[in-house]
Amino acid sequence: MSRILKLLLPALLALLPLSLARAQTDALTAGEVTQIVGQAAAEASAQGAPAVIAVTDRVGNVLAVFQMTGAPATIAIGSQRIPAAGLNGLENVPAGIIPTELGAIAKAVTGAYLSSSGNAFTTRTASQIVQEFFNVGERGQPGGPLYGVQFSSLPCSDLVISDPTLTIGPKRTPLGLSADPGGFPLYKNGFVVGGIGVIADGQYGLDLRIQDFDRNVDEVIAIAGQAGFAPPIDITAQRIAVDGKTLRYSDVSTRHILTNPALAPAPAGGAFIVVPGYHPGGAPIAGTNYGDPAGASGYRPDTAGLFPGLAPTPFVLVTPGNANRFTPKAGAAGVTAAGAASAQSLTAPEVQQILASALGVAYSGRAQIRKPLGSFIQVTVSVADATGDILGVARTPDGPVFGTDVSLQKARSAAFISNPLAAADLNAVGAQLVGGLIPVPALSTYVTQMQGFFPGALTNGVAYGARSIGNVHRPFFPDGAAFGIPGPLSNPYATWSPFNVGLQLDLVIANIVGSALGGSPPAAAPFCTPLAPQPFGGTRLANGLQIFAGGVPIFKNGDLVGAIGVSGDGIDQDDMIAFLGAHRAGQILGTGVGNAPVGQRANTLKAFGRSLRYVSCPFAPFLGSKEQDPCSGK
Amino acid sequence: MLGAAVALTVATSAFAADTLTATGARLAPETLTDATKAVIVRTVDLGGDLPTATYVIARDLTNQLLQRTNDGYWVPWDSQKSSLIDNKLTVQGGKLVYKVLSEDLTGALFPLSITLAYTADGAFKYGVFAVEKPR
Repeated sequence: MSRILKLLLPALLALLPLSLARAQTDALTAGEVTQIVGQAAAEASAQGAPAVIAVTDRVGNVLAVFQMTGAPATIAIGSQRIPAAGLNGLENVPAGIIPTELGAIAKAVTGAYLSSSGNAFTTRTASQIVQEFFNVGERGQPGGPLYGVQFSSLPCSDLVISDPTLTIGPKRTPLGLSADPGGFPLYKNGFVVGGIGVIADGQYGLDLRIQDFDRNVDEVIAIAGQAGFAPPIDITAQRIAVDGKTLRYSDVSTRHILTNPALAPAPAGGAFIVVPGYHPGGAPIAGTNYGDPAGASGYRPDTAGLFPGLAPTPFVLVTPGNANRFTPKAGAAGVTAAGAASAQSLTAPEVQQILASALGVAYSGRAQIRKPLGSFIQVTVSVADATGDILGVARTPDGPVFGTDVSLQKARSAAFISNPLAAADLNAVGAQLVGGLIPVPALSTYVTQMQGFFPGALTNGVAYGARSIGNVHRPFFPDGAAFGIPGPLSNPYATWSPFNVGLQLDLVIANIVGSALGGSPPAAAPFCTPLAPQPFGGTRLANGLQIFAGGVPIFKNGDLVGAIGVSGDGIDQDDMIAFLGAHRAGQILGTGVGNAPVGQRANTLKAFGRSLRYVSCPFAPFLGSKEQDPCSGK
Repeated sequence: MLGAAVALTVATSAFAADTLTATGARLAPETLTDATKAVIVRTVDLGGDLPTATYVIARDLTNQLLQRTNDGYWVPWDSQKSSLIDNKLTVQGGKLVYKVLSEDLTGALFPLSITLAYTADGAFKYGVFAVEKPR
């Protein structure tokens, strides 16, 4: 390589991310949706495995659901971990109840939501990163980096859109995100334009053995459907490493399919179906163009100048009328460490600055999960107040869509668990028998367990980051232990599975089951959880609890006033953006806003000789700086 | 969204009287039969409370918080209880009748949540219910 080229290479690499930030101009046409379904149906016929095939766009609009004759009518949820007599949580829903098309939609949405122009992930990737050990089977390793993400974008979320007659997203997914192999993203010209989800085997589970390569029929059919709409190979999961471990994209490839997708006929051997609450018409429809300034997808660049100096222009979520849904606004009164109403609250300018500072950290940071190397971080940032009201949401242009709901979950979770009123909120929720089938304990159980670990927990105003919450919501404490006691918010390992994690699921299980059986969100959707409603009209966890890193509470002059949540890249990057976003905004504002007082943070807590973590930031995380430990001392 | 209220004939909710609490009561949801002519009226049993002020708050998925004025208009609410506008409802037989809204809601992003509230003896009591569009 010439000396000049060597000198120029760093500068050229630095330009790459900007070139990749070009505007998305593609969407699936109705004809392409038909083609994708036809390719998958032809392969399913060749495999002798009639399937239900769902196609969505990037923001979760269901574009088609094709039900082949002989396809399983319902799915059985199962992790294959626990003897039948010991089934718990969602595994307790008997086979023969949940329609297969809901599982197929969840898989398609997951393929679309987890992916971007910098990373292509599948439901098999999800399976790898949501289990109790990363990698699954490597006992003694910490849990998957996105442990708990399966319970996001839920039908009951107050952020997602449930009306199938509207094109704006993000749309809900019927069962949350899926870890069942057979859900893939769809691409055109390097842009995510949707996802395909297939179920032929009637099972809705995950992969317990990453050491081998399966011949999963759902996955074979889905990859046939994806032909012609595959991601660039360099951004697929197997080219991306997390914690030194390569991610898994698929256990099969196009060489495993029996048909030639290019010769696939129109979909045959079944019918396009209506899915109440998800797909208003039987015939395939075109997808929305993500990021179109007209706002049809629900995402577009900010046009109000909310974030001056940031380039490319951050995105906002919009209404059907193309107005910003989450323009920064003031929050309700915060809460003192004693649980009294505070005189402090977040103002709209403070919320705007927190979002801007966080996005600024993202733009300057080196992405973990994106290719090419040297790309900046792409995420969604949400701010909520201490009652759970949404005060603002903004994102980098190409953040994976799943991070929209998850960032809000993280913010609310950090605010909730840090709130001295949390114990009272949980203690008010008695035992349930969901659907007459699934026993859910009184939520005071978790309060008791937490206080057994940390006396006074959930009443004493200790500030928990989303990472700290994850520390106490794993089936082993500390996370990464091979044996021993569960974290106080988790189920014990004997009854644990990704479908039965503990408090996180118990808060939303009634809504998930009710929605899956009824096809639409329950009328109580604005609440999502059984917690008491707040004056703004929702609960403190109105889109569910989230239990992996990337959020911190926000304090103002010593009182809890809200929280920031970040999602879309590696969890250390998400943590850093939340923490530094709050810190830098506080420095700029000078109003007393910022992170929790150092002595009040959860990393001051210790149980069984083990300390909790508050945040964990990456080493040397910036693209244009050699700074090594930016979170230290703050 | 919720624009200026229009005087129309109102119908009473089919549900029994609601009770509000200081920690927030979850009230029975409503499903509209016709979003173009939405009428919502709720009755609250005071349980002996003597309200000094009454409030109504609304939120839809656009995330705007609006409050009802005493003459039926909807205006932004900044989340501060001190900013709430008294609807000046009068107690009748130990109950309050909240004429929540009567208008065309076709532009709303459902579900809506409606908060009914009053202050009595220094306490802020409230309850929330969801409003679904016709199915």
